[in-house]
Amino acid sequence: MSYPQPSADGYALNGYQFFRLNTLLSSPGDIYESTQSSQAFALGPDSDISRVNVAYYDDQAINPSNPALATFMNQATVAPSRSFLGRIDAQNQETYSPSKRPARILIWSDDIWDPSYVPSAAAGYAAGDHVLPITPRLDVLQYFQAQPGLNPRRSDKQYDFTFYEGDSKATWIVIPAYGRKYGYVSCLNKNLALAYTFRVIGVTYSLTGVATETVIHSGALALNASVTVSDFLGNAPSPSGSFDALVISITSDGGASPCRVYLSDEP
Amino acid sequence: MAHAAPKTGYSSMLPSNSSTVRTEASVPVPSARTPENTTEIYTYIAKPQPDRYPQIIYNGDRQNAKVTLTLETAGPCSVGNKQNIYPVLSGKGVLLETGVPLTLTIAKGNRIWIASTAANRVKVEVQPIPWQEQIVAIITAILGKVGHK
Repeated sequence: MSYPQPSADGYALNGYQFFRLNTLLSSPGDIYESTQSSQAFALGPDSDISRVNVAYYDDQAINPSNPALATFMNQATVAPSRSFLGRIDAQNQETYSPSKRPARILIWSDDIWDPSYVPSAAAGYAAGDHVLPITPRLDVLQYFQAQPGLNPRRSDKQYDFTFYEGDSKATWIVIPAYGRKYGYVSCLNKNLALAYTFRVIGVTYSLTGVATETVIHSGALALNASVTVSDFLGNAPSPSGSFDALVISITSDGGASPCRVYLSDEP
Repeated sequence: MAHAAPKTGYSSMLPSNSSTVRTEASVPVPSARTPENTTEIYTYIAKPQPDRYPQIIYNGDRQNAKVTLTLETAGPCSVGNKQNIYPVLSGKGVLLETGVPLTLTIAKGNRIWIASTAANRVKVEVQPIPWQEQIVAIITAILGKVGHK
């Protein structure tokens, strides 16, 4: 994402019906803002992030046991299963407490992302292997006009990989899979001469930086052989019912092995 | 009713056909140079003011008019005929609803103030009420004749 972020004011003043915050995350702690009020919030169709927090000014949001700790901030979470309908005001002339920052609408990911994740040795990672992380995309829609109803279901995502580092070292591709209920991985070994171990691993990040890895598939893939791994989501340990990321491991000796990953919100 | 003629050589600042006879009521005819009964259609951009001083969205100094305001964005915006409409959600003004036209009949000499906490688009339609001018003129003339007698 480039800074400054897109301004919601520009969209509103130019007559758009919504402000779409569609950006790749640049860090796990990204916080975005909107100075425009909203009639509805929903997850965008291209979002990898499945849970997005929206914070707004609420003068009733005080700590009754200690009013001195009042923040005047309330928040809601939008997800594929739930959008937020109703007017949320951007009280740009008020301030949150105790930061005294303008009470704009704040938006950030509720899903954990570790951009420095590297598979563990137990998963099969070896020194010299390559890691190719796919950066998660945050896609949020802020509507300026009232919506009778919203179906915030995300679009299915399909990734196609063909070319890898051809040094016979494994390439580990880390694909965001937040909140996905169904997926399949299909790969064909078109190496020049190398058979290798094809792996699919489900990853759940943690705040400690130590991710939980679940080996979904690990098996030899012979030359010109293909493998399809499916029906593995829905049994994952993370709270959303899915893994935070899927990791597939492919080893290439220069050959172009097509590999397709398909993810869907439909179970 | 005969109007007193302006003094010769005197550059009068009064509109044409205005009477200087204090016992006779008169209403100046509308100026032929500048139209007063004008229809206006435009989009007003309401912005939050750092000093919380509202803006004038309509100045009705020249005509009686029916003014329709329609908020196009999410707001919040409030309007009122007085300046003290801040805070926006306090109820001192009338809160505009997105997509719902609010029609106000504004007498000549009145203004509409607007206050907003964010940048918003407001559709403004001004429809003059010319017949109101004529009715006032006729009533004034009748009262003038009655008073004169």
